[in-house]
Amino acid sequence: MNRALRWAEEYAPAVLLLIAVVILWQVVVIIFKIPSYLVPLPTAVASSLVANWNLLIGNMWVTVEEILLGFAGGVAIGFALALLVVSSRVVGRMLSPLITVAQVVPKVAIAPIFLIWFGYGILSKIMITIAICFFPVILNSIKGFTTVDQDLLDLLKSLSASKTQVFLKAQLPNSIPYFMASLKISMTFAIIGAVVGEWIGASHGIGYVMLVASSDFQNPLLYAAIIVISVVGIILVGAVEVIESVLTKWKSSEVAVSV
Amino acid sequence: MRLKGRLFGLSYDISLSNVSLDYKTNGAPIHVLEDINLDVREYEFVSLIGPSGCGKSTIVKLLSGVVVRPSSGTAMIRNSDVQSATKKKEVGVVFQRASLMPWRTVLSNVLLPLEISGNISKESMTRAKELLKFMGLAGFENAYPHTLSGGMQQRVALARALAFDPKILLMDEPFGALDAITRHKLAVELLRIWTQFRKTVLFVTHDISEALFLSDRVVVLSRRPAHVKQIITVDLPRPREVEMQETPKFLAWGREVRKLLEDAE
Repeated sequence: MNRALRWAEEYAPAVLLLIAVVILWQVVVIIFKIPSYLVPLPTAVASSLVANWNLLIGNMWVTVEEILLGFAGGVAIGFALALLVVSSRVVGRMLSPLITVAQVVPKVAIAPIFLIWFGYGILSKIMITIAICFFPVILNSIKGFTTVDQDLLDLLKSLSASKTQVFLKAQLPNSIPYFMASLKISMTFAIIGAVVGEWIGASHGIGYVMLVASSDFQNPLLYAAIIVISVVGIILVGAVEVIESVLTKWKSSEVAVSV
Repeated sequence: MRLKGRLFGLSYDISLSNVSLDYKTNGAPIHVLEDINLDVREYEFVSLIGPSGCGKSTIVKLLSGVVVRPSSGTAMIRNSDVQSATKKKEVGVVFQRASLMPWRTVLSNVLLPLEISGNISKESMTRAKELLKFMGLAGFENAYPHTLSGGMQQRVALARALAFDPKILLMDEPFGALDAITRHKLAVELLRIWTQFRKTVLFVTHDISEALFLSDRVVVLSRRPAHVKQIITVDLPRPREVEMQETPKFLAWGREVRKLLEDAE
């Protein structure tokens, strides 16, 4: 009960603002007679959402699958690369500059190549998603592994801890807040990756629905698709946040995250 | 005297002979320790005091195995080299900052040294809990460090250093980051622990009366490169009482140490 109340207190202002904006939007569109192909009425968007519910939800699941598989792959690859970089100085020297280079290459620009390599189906979208979302994980995991308090390292040395013990007892737990914070960023990147991947070329997915809707001048459907993917994003990022708060309940303050 | 001690089988818990140490840097090496000679007997409480940045902490690092070996001379702990002494769990270390693992609970922090050496058992668990109780931390076993005050965190660090019951306690300005009242409280507590558990203590501080109040001997170091300027034997009776700090003898020692430190600057 108390919890529900606190929850309402936390989120009510944002929800109220959102409602106000939607009402204002409706009023402005009506008063200024803005044509639907520019900005549709919220009510038109809502009715399109209802009318195309099955279409939207069916395609949503395709996109969700791409997001989750791409996210999982990206996180796994990012974490594994971070492990490699810190595991040996030579590997670190080999990979670190390349990681920096790869970071500045615009991933969306190379998406068409992925389509050529991995085909028109779901695989190319997953690969694009992986390419977009693994960077925050690798950067922040490395940061987490390498920013252990020097006193703690001295302490472990005085206890004659092995390299593996130092990693398991200090570096790995130290990286968890950084890692978890990077997951949140990665998840938002994964959503972008999947949708962009579908824009390049697809026959299913929310991104595909958006393309079709805009080329058919079905503006309310385009907006409805945006709403669906936004809700998906909120739920997925929210889920990551919940996991984060469980895993870092020992943490007193925020960590600075690199993107 | 040193040689005689060796010949007659007299051994020390901590023994530094002719220890010099240079830190290698990109430029010229930094000369940190210069021909340090110091022997600490079993159960003795010895303080190191010196100007800040003189190399006091380096001595602790040397004896705890954090800095691997001196450039010349030998550092011995209970007649073996530091490396094997730390492996034998003869040395517990407390740093200036509590340096607790923020992701571990209080109890789990105390158990860390035992975990590293693979000695976790029901018995060690009970011992750790008793230690915490002895330190006035009963009821905080499952708290996370960030919920504790600085003084309490340092108590946890002390309990952690005592977890595997080492013979020797090395303390590098352990109360340096605390306020005066907490600091004094913990100093009194440290003496209680020292009496109860029978440890040999090497205590680094920059607080003159803290050093005199706690110690059997106070070693005054010069500025960097540090060498031993003078060793003052504090022959006050034990247990030490707070009032002893007002005695003329105590105050005279204080003046003497202050003079030595000022000359060292």
